[in-house]
Amino acid sequence: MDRKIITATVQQIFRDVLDNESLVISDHLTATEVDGWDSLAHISLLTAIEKAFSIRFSLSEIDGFSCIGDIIDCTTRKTA
Amino acid sequence: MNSAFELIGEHRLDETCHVSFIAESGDSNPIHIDPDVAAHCLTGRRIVHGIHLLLLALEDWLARHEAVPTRLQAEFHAPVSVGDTIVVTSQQRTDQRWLVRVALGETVCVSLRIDTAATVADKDTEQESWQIVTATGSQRFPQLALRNGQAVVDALLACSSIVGMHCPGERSLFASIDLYLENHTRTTGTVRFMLESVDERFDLYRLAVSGAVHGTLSAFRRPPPVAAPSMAMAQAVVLPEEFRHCHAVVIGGSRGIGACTAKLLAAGGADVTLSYCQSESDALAVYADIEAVSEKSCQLIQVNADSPPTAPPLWLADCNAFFYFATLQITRNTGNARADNPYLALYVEHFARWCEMLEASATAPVHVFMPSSAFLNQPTAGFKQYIDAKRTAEALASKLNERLQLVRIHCYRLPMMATDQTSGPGGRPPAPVLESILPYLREFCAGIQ
Repeated sequence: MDRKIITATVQQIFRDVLDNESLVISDHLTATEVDGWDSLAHISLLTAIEKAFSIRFSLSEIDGFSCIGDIIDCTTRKTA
Repeated sequence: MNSAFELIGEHRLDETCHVSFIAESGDSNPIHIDPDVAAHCLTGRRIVHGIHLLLLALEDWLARHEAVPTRLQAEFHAPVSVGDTIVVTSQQRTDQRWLVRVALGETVCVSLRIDTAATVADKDTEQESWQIVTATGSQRFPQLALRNGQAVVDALLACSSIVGMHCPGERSLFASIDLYLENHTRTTGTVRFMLESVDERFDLYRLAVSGAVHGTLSAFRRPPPVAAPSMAMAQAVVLPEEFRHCHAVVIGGSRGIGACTAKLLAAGGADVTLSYCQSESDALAVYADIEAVSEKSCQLIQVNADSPPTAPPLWLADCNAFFYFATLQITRNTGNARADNPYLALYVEHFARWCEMLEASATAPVHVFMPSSAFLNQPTAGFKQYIDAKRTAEALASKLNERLQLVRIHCYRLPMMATDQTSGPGGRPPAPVLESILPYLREFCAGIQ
């Protein structure tokens, strides 16, 4: 799947889960920079992304996510 | 068509309404009723049921709208404690959808999406694995009872009981719901539920429910409380005499980093006075563990760090190492205002008073261990007030060090460690306290003769 389409979907998921309609994501954005992106929200974000794209992240993949770009890259690979 | 958020309600979650909800829902999970259990979880205080917050917010919304809700989707972002006051706001998203927020200060605790046009999905299939839960019921939510039926109210109450008492049960933490609501089609709020899946990566349980409400409930199973390291573990990592010069006072020594510090110091030959504020049973356990194996004296005192003694007490007389681990529950919030910063009084104002008192009573140098935070090296969203308070405390320490003669304050930006405060579902657990704090203690105590 096209990375731009994935990014747009991921952005909407972030807005819904974090209850922040004005949030604009970028590849380098990390949890420390976004209000509400704590460990519980992180799980909600990942499970919502998995559901949206019918994929499943492994624990090692999840451990490797340090910014939004990592999540989008992994999603792009899994939906290719 | 997003409009502005409109204030639609404000509620103080007092003891009376909390106790009522426990009776009505049947959800008497210890985190709601037992202060000692709650002290080790989340806010450190008994928490209000998530479904209680949801029902209060829904009543506020129903009081202003004539539509009949057909679907509720809610995410529980942050806990609310008994005694807190919540604010409910609402925003219309489309002709038939609203977003309702339950907030504590500036922190959104619950996001509730109300749909008035969702088609009720038929999930009422017969399966042997269903379990049945019935709540006592409540008359406190009349708008929902009028609009959708008392059975829907009671079914939502039963959902609280399902998660809190049945699955995941004792260590549960509500994550989200996605429920379709019936409309006066049933007379009973009895709900059937079954476990659909467990995502073992996150200990996330997904339950199917069926009855006057049906859909899914999601809940985490929280990790067990962090066990304090024993004296035997402390003795295994320190040399028997390495802290022998320390006459230590550990404020906040009953739990977490303070308790571990007290044990490490005692294991290294220090005599230790440890203080507690509220957690007497925890303090007694730490004290007994030290007393059982330490050859030096150990004292246990109750003191409120908010109220330093006006005159130096006897237990401070020989102190040459003062550890200030008094803290509040550190929670994520979006507050910015300095005037409302809950951490400033304890970390700055009262800490300064303790140092002044130490200076007034000291006849020899007193070293003060002031825990700061690695958060200052990498500011994290949602912790601005905590970080501001720690930064202010560091600046205060610097000024006090210039002015005071016998008191010397040492600030350490400690990393996050595995304590009850940092324990929760999801994420990699922080490093154990024992190994993490020991290098700082060694550096601090090296200067004490």
